[in-house]
Amino acid sequence: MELIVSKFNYWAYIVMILVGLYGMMVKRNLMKKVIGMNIFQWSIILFFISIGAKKGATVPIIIKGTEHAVKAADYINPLPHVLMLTAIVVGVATTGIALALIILAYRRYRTIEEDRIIEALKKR
Amino acid sequence: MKAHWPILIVALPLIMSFVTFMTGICYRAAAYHLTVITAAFSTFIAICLFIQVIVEGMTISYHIGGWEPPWGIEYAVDHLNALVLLATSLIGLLTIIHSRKIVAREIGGEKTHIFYALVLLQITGLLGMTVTSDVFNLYVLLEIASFSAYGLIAVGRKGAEFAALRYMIFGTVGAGAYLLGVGYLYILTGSLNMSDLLRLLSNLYGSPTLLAGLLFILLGLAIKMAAFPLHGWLPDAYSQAPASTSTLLAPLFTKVVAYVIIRICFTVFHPSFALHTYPLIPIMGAIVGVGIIVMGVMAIAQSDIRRMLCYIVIAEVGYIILGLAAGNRLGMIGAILHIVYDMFMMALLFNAWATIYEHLKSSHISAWRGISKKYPLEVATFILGGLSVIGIPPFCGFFSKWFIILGLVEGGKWFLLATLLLSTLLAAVCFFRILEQTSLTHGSNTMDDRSEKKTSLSEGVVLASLSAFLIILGAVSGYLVSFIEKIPFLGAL
Repeated sequence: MELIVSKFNYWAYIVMILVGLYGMMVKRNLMKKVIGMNIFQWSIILFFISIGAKKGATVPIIIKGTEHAVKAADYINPLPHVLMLTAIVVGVATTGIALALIILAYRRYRTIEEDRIIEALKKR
Repeated sequence: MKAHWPILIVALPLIMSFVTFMTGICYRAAAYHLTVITAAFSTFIAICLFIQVIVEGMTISYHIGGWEPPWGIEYAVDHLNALVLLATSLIGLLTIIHSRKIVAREIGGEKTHIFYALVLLQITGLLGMTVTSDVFNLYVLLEIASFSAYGLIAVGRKGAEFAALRYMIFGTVGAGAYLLGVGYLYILTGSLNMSDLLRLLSNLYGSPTLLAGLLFILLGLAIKMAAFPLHGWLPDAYSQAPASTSTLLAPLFTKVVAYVIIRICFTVFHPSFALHTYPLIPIMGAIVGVGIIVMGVMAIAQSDIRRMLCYIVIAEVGYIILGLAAGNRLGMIGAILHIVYDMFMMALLFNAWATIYEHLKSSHISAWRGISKKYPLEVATFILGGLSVIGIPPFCGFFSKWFIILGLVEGGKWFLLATLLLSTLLAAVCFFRILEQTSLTHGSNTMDDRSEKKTSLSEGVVLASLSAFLIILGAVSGYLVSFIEKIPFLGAL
């Protein structure tokens, strides 16, 4: 119980990753697969964001003219958040390409069910 | 200018990709020329960097924006990636020149500039992955390369968009796993720079978090490089793609990711960590060892020649892992040589295949019956590439394989040695079957149509120069080995 409460952010991301993987592997609808893919990506982004947070810390802006030395413990770590801005862009691009591919598939096969697409491909 | 080569080799194709796209909107014919000029300039920079590394004999480090390495992003060129950069950019250039006519036919007039913009993005990603020395930057560039690959594959024949979507789902899991691994390393050290990580990790090797991090990174990269049990996406994606795409992707992508595995396992971690402390690479080698035999059998079972080549690509990437799994200098040298040589061999095979495919409009093995009389140059270069893949002595494929075999013997990995030899035999069966088919004279009935097409001069020159490269690279392999031996981490083995 202690392990779960003190590290709940890790548990949250593990559960989300598993949900995402389940969606990608088990669901036969291409849209649902893409949603699973998104959950998978967001879980990693949330994981990164959570490791930057600290209890009792403030935003990492140093006010000019501060007398005392900067203590790292007083500020949350901004770097993981900056990295995740890039990762979010990557995630959005992934979703965009995936949706474009689904539209292409729908135009050709008139369905977004994986099984029917495979059937249609076998027939040719 | 010269001091900025390491960033220019990445930034130039990136910027030119947008320029190509924009100029293509009003003036489409320029797209091809812009792409070739950019690729040629990248190759020129790669040659300059290669010479600079030879002359100075040390790592060229470039700090982006003038920020010092642990805080800013560092691009570094050393003996390992100078070689990969040169091979990647040169093959990119040759392939683009070769596939001009094929692109014009397959993609059609109004979309060629988009295609070439994606090609340049692909080259950006591949060169960037090679040159970067920052693990997160590497993730971004890996995704740039992957995204352009999805786009390039999806424009293929019926079924390509579905294959691309599948590749994408696999690829996203791979990239996600890599990013997760990077996150674990970041939690431990607070750094993303490779040489800084090596320093900071040195007293953390007992940590389970570190092991988990490396496992995730390896899993992600293994998916991207199509290592055996995770190769499912590759045959579909590369064989449904347009011919011009598979000639570009198949020689380069998987090999560059194999380079990244070497970079992460042996320069971010101490070489003994993934080899001896936790034998991850030897375990991967054992799995891949089984895989190369399976891939050999699968290759023989294919009736479509491009699909056969796809399985051979997976087997060839497996050899690189086998060389690493040997765990000694010789095996490592063989693996690095094989990255470079395999790029050239696959480039020749796929380009020769694409030329013949353009003439015959069919990739089925029965259509290739008796074509050697009609297309002697094309078939000869294809067979030459095949002989090199099998490992016949004068060609370069022999030398890299020889070093891998020496490494496996020295390391006493008899099982891996047996799988490698057996897989060589299977590759021989594959290519001799094609040799037999193409040189059959009787029953070559389909070939009497008068609409005979000729291989254009540029295509012929590319094929001839790639064939020449296979022989030259074989001849200079002694020099290359002495070059590779200067890689710092080889001393630690």
